[in-house]
Amino acid sequence: MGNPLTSEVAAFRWLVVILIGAASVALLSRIFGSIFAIWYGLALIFILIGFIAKGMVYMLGSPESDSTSENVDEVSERVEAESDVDGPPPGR
Amino acid sequence: MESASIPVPHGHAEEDHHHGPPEAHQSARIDRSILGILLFILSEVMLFAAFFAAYFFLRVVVNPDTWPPEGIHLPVLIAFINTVVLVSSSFTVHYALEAIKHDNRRGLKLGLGLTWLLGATFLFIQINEYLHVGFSARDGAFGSIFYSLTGLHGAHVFVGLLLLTFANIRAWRGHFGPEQKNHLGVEVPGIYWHFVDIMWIIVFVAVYVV
Repeated sequence: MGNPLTSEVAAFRWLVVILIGAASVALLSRIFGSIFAIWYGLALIFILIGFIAKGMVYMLGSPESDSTSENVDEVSERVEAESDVDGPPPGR
Repeated sequence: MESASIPVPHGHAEEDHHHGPPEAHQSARIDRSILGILLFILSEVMLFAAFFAAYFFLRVVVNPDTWPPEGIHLPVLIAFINTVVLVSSSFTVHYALEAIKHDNRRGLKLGLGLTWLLGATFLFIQINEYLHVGFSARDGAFGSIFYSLTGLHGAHVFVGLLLLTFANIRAWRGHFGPEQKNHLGVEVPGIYWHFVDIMWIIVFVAVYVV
């Protein structure tokens, strides 16, 4: 279903899942009582946290997978190198 | 005078008219705007977790004989109707985003407008509930935690409405487009709105139902 914190579509799917989970908590509270339903609800919340944590670990990625844009030093070096090839600006 | 032109990071000076420093090093797996709302929501989850911890401590650890205390009757039916109103608003904001993904501007405006109206209705009903519920935050631990949890959530709905106000204004002025980078102004408030809805479902079940 995707990480609910990365896109609206994934968050919407999780909303529907949580809605179903909440309905099951309400049903169990009627059958087994409030305290049982509370522990059941807490268990569901911890499962949800587990899924989100797993999604976040994937999302953070690894240094190899990151997009490496040119950093400032590289650009400065390139500007200087091109200036040397072209010679000094007129009037100097 | 080509020699006097200053090269820019991506080498497309004429096309991009790019000025300033190059783009920052960033993750390839997530956009910076989405990362921002993600970190914000994580901090919000921790805030709500603190309030829920207080609620469940009172409910389970202290474990009073009656919960809610004698003489307190929560308007469960009205809260349920309010839940339906708020959950409906999640469907409308999802519809708005799907509409703009398909370049349906009318659907975007309709979805965002309905979402705002449903959110405002929720807030109006909740304020009305506070006025008629018959106890205050000073009436024991239950009163304190009830107003804290529902009030905290109400404040988040208010912030969500502000975000949706901006999204609505931008939609009516012709902003947003089908590409992902062009509808982040709808997607990011949408994620926040779903978060607010999910929190309400948990608040409703914990406080009113169980």
